[in-house]
Amino acid sequence: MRREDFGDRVWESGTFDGDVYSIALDSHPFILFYNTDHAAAAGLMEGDRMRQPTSPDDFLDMVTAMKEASGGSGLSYGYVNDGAQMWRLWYTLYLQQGGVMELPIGGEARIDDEPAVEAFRFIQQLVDPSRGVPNADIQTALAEFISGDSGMLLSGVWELPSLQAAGLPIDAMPIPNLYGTPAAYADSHAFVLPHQNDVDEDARREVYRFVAEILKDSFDWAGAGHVPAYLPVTEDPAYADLLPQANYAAVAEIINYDPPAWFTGSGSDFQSLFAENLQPVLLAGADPQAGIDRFRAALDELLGKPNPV
Amino acid sequence: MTTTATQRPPATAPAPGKPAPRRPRRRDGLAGWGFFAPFGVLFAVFMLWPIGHGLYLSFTDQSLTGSGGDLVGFANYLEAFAEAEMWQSIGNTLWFTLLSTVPLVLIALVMALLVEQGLPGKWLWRLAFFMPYLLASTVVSLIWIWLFNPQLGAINSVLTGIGLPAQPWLQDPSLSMVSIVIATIWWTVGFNFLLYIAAIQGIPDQHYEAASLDGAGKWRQLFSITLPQLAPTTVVVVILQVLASLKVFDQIYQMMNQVVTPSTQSAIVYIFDSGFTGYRFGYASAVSYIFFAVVLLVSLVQFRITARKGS
Repeated sequence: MRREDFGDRVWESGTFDGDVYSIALDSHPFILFYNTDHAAAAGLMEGDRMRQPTSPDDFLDMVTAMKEASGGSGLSYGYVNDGAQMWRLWYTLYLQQGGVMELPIGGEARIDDEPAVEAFRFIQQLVDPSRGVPNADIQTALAEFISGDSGMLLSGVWELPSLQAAGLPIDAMPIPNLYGTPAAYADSHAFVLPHQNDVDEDARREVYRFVAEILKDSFDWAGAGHVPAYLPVTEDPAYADLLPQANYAAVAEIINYDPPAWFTGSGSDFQSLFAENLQPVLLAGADPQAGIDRFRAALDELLGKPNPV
Repeated sequence: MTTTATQRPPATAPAPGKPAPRRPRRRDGLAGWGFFAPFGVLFAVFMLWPIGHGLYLSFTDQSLTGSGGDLVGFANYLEAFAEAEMWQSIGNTLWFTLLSTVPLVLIALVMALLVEQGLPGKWLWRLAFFMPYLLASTVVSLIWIWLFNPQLGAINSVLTGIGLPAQPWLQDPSLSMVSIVIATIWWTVGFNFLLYIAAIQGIPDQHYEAASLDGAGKWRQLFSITLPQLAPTTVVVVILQVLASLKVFDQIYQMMNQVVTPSTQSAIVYIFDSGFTGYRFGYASAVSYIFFAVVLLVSLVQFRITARKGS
């Protein structure tokens, strides 16, 4: 296992002050699945892939075309009562506009208003009844897409096995770059060896070897949709034949994790706070700016508290 | 324990006829402690120690990650008292308790009275009303998340079928707590129902016989015999129900998919979030003790009222 066997962003997220603290097994980004039959009927296919949108409005038109083709929804996106789903799509679109988010402990949260509001305006249009379902949760979105009543699905790569098991004609791609800056959102599973007061050198070496073996054999794990972090696996010719995984593996080079702070991460208060303050924007058409302001105030309060970690 | 031991019949005494004032008493005591030990150990480990340790933690800045742990005096308590979110969560808990306790007692009573009217297939009714109580909270939450689903849910299908507008049950802040209460009633009403069934069956038939000889009709019998006889059961049911409702956590946490909303965050959800996703064990412990004081207060008021009723 060497430094150059990992992508930059995946590797760096496991380091602190230059020291390695964790080894990532994979990255599992938030991506776009689509139903190839509906995409063909909507005239969106170029060869055996769906074409890339040229602008945010063009993507909205593609979704509208998908809705006509599927007879149900153009795009399925379940977000209700689900901070993770909301945060992942919004943050992707925010970063694509060059938005920066910083959470300095003891300081004030930085959220750029313009891209923040624009991302919400765009998602509001995606879930508009003319394209999708305005108040779906993740189960509803999955049920809709799996039953063939929808053209596209925004979710994580981990949904792939259940979509494939349903026998759908699907393919997948990174979330299209609509605003100019290549960016995607992802998390990683990682191995961490907790601090030992009394280190057994032999046991530790065996643990390292065990982790290395798992990473080297992570091709099977890729079958579940996740993008292996160990580059020799994804650079292997066999991986190129693994579809649709190979169609979105490049996303690993542009992934972003949650902004670092003790309260962020998957299943954290941070994503729950995001939902609490910003769900009304999507669900009830509330003003995005007011939601962002409330979210920022909640973050400032957390940043002002003593760091319990 | 030991004082009653001497009054027991000689079956427990080792040598009948012998006075043996001290020895059997001590042996008896040992046996008693032996029987008590398994429960006693569990009670000490999972009840007494956590209570004491929690109180200690509430005066520290202990973190879930193991750091911290210094004594900080009353800082956690002061912070909690000034925190609007904590008061709101306690308010939500009291609101849930009120919303759930009244129907949980009344519906259980009505169901028990109806079933005990001598319906055909009585066992089936009893089973059907009690069965949901046997389900795990996770199962109940999943069932109701699907029933309440805005697009695919059975409840909205029925509503739109009869021409009423569909509702975003769990998503609308003004409806979400009521939706959780509905699910909770379906889930737990069976227990109160069972208590009432047992109490109704305990009312002697002679009372009804005498009443009907005196010319009392069914309604008269209900109000003059059945309901008064059920009063002690109602006291028990209300006490148990209030305590159960104050502890609400599972169904809120699960049905809201861990998302905290200002209208559904209960006290225990707030404590859980502070301690486990916010890592602040010390602060969470302090809030636990504040909430404990609130529960104690509610219980005292309740005992006061029921005691007055009893006398």
